Amino acid sequence: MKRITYIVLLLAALMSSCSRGGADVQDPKPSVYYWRTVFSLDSAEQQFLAQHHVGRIYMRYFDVALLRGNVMPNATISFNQPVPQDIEIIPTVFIVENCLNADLNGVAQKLVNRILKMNKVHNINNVKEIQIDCDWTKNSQERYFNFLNEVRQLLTPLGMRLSATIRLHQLIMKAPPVDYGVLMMYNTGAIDATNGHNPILDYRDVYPYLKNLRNYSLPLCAAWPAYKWNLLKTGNQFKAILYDVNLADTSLYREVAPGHIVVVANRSLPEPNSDGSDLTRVLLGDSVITVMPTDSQILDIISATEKERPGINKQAIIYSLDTKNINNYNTQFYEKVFNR
Amino acid sequence: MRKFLTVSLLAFIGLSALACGPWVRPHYYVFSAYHRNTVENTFYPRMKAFWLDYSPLIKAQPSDIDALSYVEDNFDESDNSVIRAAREKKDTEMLNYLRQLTQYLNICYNISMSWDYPSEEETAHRNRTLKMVAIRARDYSGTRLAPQYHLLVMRCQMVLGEHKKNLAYWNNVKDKLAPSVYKDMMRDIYAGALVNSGNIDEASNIYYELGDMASIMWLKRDERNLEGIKREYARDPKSPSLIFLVQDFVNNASDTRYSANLYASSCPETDNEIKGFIALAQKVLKDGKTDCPALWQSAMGYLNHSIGNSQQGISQLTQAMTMKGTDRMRDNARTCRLVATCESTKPGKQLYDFLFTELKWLLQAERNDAPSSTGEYAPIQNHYSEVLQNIVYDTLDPALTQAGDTNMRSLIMTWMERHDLGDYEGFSPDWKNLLDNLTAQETIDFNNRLGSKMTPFENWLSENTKIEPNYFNDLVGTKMIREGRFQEAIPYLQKVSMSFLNSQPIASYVAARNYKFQPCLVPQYEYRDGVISLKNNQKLEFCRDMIAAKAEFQKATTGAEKAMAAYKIAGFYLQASFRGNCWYLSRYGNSVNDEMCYKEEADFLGEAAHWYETALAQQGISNKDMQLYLYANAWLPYGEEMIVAEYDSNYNLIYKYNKQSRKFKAMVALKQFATKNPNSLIPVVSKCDVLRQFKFLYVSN
Repeated sequence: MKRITYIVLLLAALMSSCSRGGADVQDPKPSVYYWRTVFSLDSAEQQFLAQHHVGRIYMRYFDVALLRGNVMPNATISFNQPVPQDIEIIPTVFIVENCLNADLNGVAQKLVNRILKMNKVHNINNVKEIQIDCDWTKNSQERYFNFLNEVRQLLTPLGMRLSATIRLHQLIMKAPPVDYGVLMMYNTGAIDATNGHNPILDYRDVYPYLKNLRNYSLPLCAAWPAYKWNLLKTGNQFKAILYDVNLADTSLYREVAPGHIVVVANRSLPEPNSDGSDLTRVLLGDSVITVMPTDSQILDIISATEKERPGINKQAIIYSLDTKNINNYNTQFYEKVFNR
Repeated sequence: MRKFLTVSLLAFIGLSALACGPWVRPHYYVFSAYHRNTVENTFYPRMKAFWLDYSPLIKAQPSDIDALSYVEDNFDESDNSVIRAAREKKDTEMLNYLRQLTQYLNICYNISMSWDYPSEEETAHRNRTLKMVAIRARDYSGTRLAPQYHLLVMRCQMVLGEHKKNLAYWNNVKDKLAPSVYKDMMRDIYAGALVNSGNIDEASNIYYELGDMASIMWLKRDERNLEGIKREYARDPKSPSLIFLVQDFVNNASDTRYSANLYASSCPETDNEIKGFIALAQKVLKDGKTDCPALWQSAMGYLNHSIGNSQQGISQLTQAMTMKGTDRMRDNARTCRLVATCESTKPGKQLYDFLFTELKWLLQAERNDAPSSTGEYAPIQNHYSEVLQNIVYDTLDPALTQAGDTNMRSLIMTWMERHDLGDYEGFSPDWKNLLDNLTAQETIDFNNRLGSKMTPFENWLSENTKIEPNYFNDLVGTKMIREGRFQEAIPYLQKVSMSFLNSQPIASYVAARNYKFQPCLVPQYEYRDGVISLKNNQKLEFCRDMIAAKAEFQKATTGAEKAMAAYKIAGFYLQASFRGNCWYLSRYGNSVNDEMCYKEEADFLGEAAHWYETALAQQGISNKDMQLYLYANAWLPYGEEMIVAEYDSNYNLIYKYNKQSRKFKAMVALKQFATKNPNSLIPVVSKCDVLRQFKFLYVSN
């Protein structure tokens, strides 16, 4: 009798542990995001895929944006190269949040049809899932979830899953109606914050949300950054991210410390500005601060998430596959991220 | 014909935003060796102009030009005004062209604005259509629409990705085509094909000539410094891209120097670049390989000026004005010389004589140059307008202020006001700010000078310019009130017409307010409903009442009478101060952050304090009146704050009474009176929550 009681208690404990959070992502594999507008892998990228046995590519197919007042696809990826057949492709669509306030009637069907057609035209066969990425908020939650439900209903008869990105602030809200979520562990801070936090990934920004991981009802995996930003600032005020500039130009920049460059002249650069214009004006005395979390910082936060939600990193996704990014970290780092 | 510059008292409202604050304007680039219009894509407006000329139908429905992108499916029944115009004109040739054009535009539209991703078959069909359109376009044998058809061929080939075909096509037809927007667009497509084939240098040159500066800036992004210019020069001393690079370099370098001077910092890298550039320019001029020495000479001159070698720079700029290059380059040298001279010469006859000639020239250059944008109020806005603004606002205004030449400053600023406004009868903040900041006497002197014998330069500046008489008199009267010169203000204010006062947007606001009320007793927060007309000139009445009240004080024989007169005077001062309900009596703008900020401004709040104290110092005042004076004096927002915030040793914020402050002392006097006479208090005192709180806190403090 005593033994039976013990077993019952053990089972209850196990069940309770299961109900604390969702399960892990099914069939986890080392994964990457591909976020460029042209699909073309160079040799370093191909080598990265092979070396780390990458099994899934979450590939941004297009954005959905409001164009001339209509919800339309935008910045569709073009294919300069066949997509690897041995890697599962997850077509990913980024939806600009303001679309959720527009007329979404029929958009779910159009979105699914478009993805299916793109797969067919470009011979992308290894597709079992679609992912939707959107920075939804409390205000747009209901419309977004309705939209996801529509997409899911369209995918189910096709035997396809639906996943969605989950930003940290969304952990405290209701979980979206999808099969699993990808916790975005990048862009965790405000880019214009003046608190000295690393806007790409900073434990101080992550910490307040960790407690929500345990009971989050969706199965989750996590995506981790492999990129760096060059932030242009006047004083402590953010002006722009400099994407494609030659920081070795000594007529314009002077490095005063590792990762800290001072602008030594005035010049307008053909770089998108935070105010939406195509030119960014750098001024004498401005700073360019390179931000990139160190490998140990990322690994520490991975451990912290793992502690709160064991198994969340069984499938880790690197954001994003690009030679410019992947060389920011060494092979050992990626091995540690992928092999949890 | 003499034209009056009428500046309305709209400024009553407008100036409120800048009552005591600066007006910040941009500092523009000075060096402009190529036309500003060329930095903007002019293809679309030029093409649109063609269609608008084609038929009044299109003028009535210009959005149909863009709508050509989605009429392909129902071309024959289309109601699009462009197609309808061709149909009504029975212009078969145009209809045929439009049929091909709409097919092409429709494909482009569907590529960018469609949920329907094309299947392989659809892509093949789309490509076949584009090829067919290209073939039909190529087959056109007429002359009238040949440029349009040639462009259509290249557009189709571009969408098909046939860049090499476009390279060949352009080279084959370019010499057969007269200049047109279509030819420029073909050349733009050709440049794109060059980029595609890796020929960046030739593409950059074309983009320069087409004025596509965004593209050239991108393609030459690694050449935008001294080393880059050296490489470009070594590659081709006559490269059109060099004109872009040199102009870009000079503007960025001189702008950096300007910032460094403004913020008293240094820019050693830029100084080195400038010195290196000057050496390069000397070499270029010596080599003799450039076809535009005026460009290099003027760049060298302006940069020499920017690093402090102004005399040498001005001399080099003068030489550049006659050197080989385009007219624009020589004009640019002269513009740079004007700026350099203004920035390096002290105000005085030599500078004024120079300005007399050169400003006239600059205005002519401004008129001859096409506007780069059509500002809402500015009649012309182009590079020369911007240089003029730099000269007047950033150089002459501070220099003349520093030199104390108020008359010349006022003349130039008024002239600039006239220039900036054109035919618009409004105001510009700069000039209003200037006038607002003059004393009454300076305003009178300035106006007198406008009508007196002046130098030819001054005459030229003041030509067509006069302050509208009503505005002038109101301005002087207001300034005199502000300076406490009430008697002197009267003759000026008497000349202001009621129709002028009632035409001002602030008239209703003024009509709803009364300076005779003590502000502590009668709050005046809101406008009255509806539009109210002024029945009299309130400023004039105020002056008269103030003079009368002061006379009353002098004539009073008893303490009570003297006290009542003083109380009234104090109320007048307070109401007309920047903290009063009737602030408009002494200034043209008001904000919560205001303070005394004008030259020779009288301290109205200080005067109010003095007169309240005078009232309180009189003998024989009734109990009721004493309460009024004590209450008004305690209410007066003048002097240090009664309560101050401090941190204690544990950094906790604590609030303390500032016992030395006038306000505290006035409140203590009121409290003492109220404590002594609890049964005879007038309602405003007995119900005063501030006093009640003060009594409680003061006791417990």
